[in-house]
Amino acid sequence: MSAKEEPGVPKQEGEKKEGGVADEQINLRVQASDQTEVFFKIKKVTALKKLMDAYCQRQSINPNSIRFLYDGQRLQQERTPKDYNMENNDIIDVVIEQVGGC
Amino acid sequence: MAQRIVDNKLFFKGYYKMCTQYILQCKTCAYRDDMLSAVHIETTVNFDDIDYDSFNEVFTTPIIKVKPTTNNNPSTAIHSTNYQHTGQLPTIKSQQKPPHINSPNQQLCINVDETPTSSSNIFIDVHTYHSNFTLHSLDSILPGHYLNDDVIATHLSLSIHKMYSNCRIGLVNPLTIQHIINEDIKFDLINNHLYSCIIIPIVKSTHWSVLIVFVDIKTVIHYDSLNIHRSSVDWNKLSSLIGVGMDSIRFVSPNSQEFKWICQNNATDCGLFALFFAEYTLYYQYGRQTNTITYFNNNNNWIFNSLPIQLNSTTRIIETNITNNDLNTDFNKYISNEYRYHVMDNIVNRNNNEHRWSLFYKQN
Repeated sequence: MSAKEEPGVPKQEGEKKEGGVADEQINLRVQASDQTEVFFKIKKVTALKKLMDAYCQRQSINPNSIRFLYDGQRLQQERTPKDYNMENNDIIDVVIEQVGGC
Repeated sequence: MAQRIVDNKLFFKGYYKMCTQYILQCKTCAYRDDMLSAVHIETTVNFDDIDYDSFNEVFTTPIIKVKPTTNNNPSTAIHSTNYQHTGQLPTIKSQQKPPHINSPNQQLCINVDETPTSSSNIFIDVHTYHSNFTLHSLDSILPGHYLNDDVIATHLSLSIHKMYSNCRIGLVNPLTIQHIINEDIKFDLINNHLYSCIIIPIVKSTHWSVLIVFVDIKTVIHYDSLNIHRSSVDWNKLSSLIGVGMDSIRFVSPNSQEFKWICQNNATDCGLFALFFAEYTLYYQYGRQTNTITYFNNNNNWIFNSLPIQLNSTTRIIETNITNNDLNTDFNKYISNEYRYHVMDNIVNRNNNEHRWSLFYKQN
């Protein structure tokens, strides 16, 4: 089951754009462990924090309780899809925080 | 109302007692869930409830006491030179910030190496630290809390980077291992040519255990502080990852004679013991600057019988009087709290070359 929506990522007219590359948008699929997917359209130079925040808000999750992985690599909030060389329709995995004590 | 501004230097200075106490202070002023970078911006704290004298003993660098200024912005307040000291506290030069916290946006751990991680995705590149370490994760190091994957991965990767950077030690990301186990991907870790030793922290139903793969001598050790080896790992799926079955894995637990001294005596410390065992093993294998493998003798027994460290002998910090907080009750109860300090110190104090691990090896 996939929820085809494009939530979050508000239009940011006021933000500075750097050249033509700035406008290039890609679709990213955020996939939870139960295989549900949420689609995001994001500019290649927008920090991924926006995507993460939007996802957490939409799913009502505490941002601290999940981790975003791309190719097994932990995503950093302030980086952009361009930094990770993400392409259209790439999948970002959402993993739940692992806690253990006893 | 009197306010104090704590210089971040206190936080980064590196004494674990400072770290904890600082965090405790932060807790009292209701910080929540900010990135640790937020702490880089000077924090104004209301210290009315805290006993100043006990803190002066604790902090080696004193707290600056600042009269309330007209400027409400704490970051400018600490930079202004005309703040007034009250009491006999010596001054800290306000401009003398540690070099690594210049930028307020800087994360806790910087990327040493900007190159992408190694070809195999399950490993954490030990040169690339987690830069997403949050205060939420730092919380989990406090006594009585469960450790989360951030702490485990960051501490181990920092330790490896600081002490064993030329020893080809791999660290499997505890996040991705779950993923890989579910996907049933085949790795043959014991026959890889990239690493000579691979550490795999595993969590299953909120219990941490650690698996250490010695590639050179084709040995796998599983350490479990609660001695529930069979149920603490999904062995069927994991054996395809490691390359050996459950039969050929050495199980180490506090029951064995050599490790009686690291047994878990509470319900929150299994992550710590997993960390401790990994670090201890690394130290014995690689920390002595010998190229020979000194881990097992011919009979395949542990060579070392004497305990290299005695946690009991390092209970010096317990004298610090922490008052007015909820941790007071069981703070002194477990010696493993010592080790929590070590973990916190290692993570927070990333630029310090002097590794505090040596402190734990004091032989008295």
